[in-house]
Amino acid sequence: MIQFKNVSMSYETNQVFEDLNLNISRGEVFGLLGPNGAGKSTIMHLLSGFLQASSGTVLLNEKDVVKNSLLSKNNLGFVPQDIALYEDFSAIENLRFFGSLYGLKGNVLTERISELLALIGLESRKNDLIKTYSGGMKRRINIAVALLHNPSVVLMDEPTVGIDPQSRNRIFEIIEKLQQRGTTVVYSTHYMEEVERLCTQIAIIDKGRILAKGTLKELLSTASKTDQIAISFQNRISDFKLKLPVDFHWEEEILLLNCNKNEDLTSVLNALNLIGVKIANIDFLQPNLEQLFMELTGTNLRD
Amino acid sequence: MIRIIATKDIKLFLKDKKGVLLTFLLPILMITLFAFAFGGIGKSNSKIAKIKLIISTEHQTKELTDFIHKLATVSQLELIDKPLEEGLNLVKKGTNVAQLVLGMDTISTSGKSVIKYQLFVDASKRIQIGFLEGLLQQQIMEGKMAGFFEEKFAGMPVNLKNKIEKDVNDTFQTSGLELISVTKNATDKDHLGLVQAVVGTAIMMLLFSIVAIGGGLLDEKENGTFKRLITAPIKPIDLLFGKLLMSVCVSVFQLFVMFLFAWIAFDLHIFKSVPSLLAMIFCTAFAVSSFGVFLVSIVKTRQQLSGISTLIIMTMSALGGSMIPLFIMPAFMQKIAVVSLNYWGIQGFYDIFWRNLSFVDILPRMLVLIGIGGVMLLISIPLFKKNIQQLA
Repeated sequence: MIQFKNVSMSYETNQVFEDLNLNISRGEVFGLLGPNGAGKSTIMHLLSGFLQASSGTVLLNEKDVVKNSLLSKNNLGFVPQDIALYEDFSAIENLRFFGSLYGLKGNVLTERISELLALIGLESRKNDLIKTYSGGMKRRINIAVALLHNPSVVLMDEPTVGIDPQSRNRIFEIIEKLQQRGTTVVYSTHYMEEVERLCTQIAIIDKGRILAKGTLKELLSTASKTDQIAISFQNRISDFKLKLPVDFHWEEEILLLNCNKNEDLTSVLNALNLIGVKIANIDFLQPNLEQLFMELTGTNLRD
Repeated sequence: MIRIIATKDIKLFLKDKKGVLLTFLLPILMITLFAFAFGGIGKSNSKIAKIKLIISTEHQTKELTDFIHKLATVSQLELIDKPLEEGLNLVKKGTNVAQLVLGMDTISTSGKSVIKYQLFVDASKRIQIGFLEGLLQQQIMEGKMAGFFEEKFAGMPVNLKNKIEKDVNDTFQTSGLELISVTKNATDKDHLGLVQAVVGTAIMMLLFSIVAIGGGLLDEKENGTFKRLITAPIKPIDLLFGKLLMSVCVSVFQLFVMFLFAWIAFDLHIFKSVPSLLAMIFCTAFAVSSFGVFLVSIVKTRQQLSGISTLIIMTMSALGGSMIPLFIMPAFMQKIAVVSLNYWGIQGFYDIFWRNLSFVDILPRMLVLIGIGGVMLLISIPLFKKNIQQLA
């Protein structure tokens, strides 16, 4: 459905992408996971027609989005990272205006607006000015605007930045409903847990390169074979006392080890026994995307 | 699509109550201020201020006394009797425009005594001096002529002498330099100062308003709505034309309100030619709106807009006659004025309100304004497209 073919993109002297290739199938919730500045928004902008690639082609339904700009835009709903709403308009005025840009009018537009206000749970505030809304409510209207024309592809550029858990859950529910209807969603974020919960396909991206791509299961299976073990203690121990034969670090008062549980755990337990600490619990942690990202890039996802 | 964008912008504009108030109230305040300054009027019954002329005499003779009495009857003058030195000081300080010093002189060939006239002036008040000079010359010549008849036709019957004197005056004096207005129905109410004040201020304030409206586009860039508009299925250039349409609508309305105010407050006859007025309002609104669009296309931030627009508008307004009437300016400045948008707008409205020209006669000025607007739009389009790319 969506294809990036050998796409290169640069701003003046800054090369954002070089020969980017990416395929996104119909009905997927495709997650772009990467830190700030990785190139997630640029992918969104290239797809939405806001930017043009320096070379290569971006296809939507096998049609070049630049050459078929108006057609592509009609099939796309874009949720920008900023809250792109008119603060001095009410929710309904915003929805009416943006709907009219997509040729919606009369009863069709009115019904669509009612449907979306119900979906985002803001029917009772529809006549209030946007400037009186909370951040989370604005985010929900921001999404509703992108869904007005029933697009087959929805681009969501970090739609949950800076909002409360209630609004975040509401947004997750919206995305899940879109998926049920067969809408393709391209979702960019640097929140690992969002991608794990929502996305059927994930691309890990950093510095304009796609480092890994697949389902959550596929990606985790590529993580290294070292295990992460969390050990908690009954008594406090000093860091300087600790000399272990494996990599370790503390997270508050929990000791995290990166080792092979079959080969290294015994020697670690022996070392701990020697300094006289009492172990309260040992957990074998499942590998996650954060760990994978660190392995791929050597940096933390939120660095 | 352009209409939808323009409607949205008009709604946004109307929601900004302070902005709307400033768009209409500030120009009205400025028009009032300049109308008093250049127009010299409040309501229709206001009079032109009299020139306060200091009179000093070096001698006391019947001829001098008669001349001063005659001068006192001139309604445009207010005579102030002062000693020579004191009068000169007042003129030097700028308190009074001029001092007329009268004395007696003797012609060497005939030994005859004649009045000597010396006018000491404050050179910075050129318009008043010119007016005063004209008045005095007229009075002096009439006085000389009366003296001539008194002397040469002393024995002639009074009726006959007066008739001949009147005929000579009519033929050689007053009719010799009669000031005739070239306008068809010029009245005090429509004098140049008032037209200048209203039109000059209206166009200058319109330029400022349009820049503020155009700044809305920059706000949209900053708050992200512009990005959303670009990703909607509309041509980017429609956004520019939508903004232009909105600006033209607001400008037409603003100019109309300003002229309506001038009509109500100062009795400026704005309805002399309604078609010409409406066409001129539209052409001015188009040119000014295009100028606003041009400015918005070349700047990237509000700060840039504020700096560049103030510089350009103040320069254009000063050159084009919005701040200082063109007829006061030196000839070379009047030639330069044609580069200013204000000039063409002001001259076009002069043609309607003061010169009473026909629609066809005013048409060239309208076409120039449309041309200026068109050129600015043509320049704005590629700049705007480039600006969109840079926005990303």
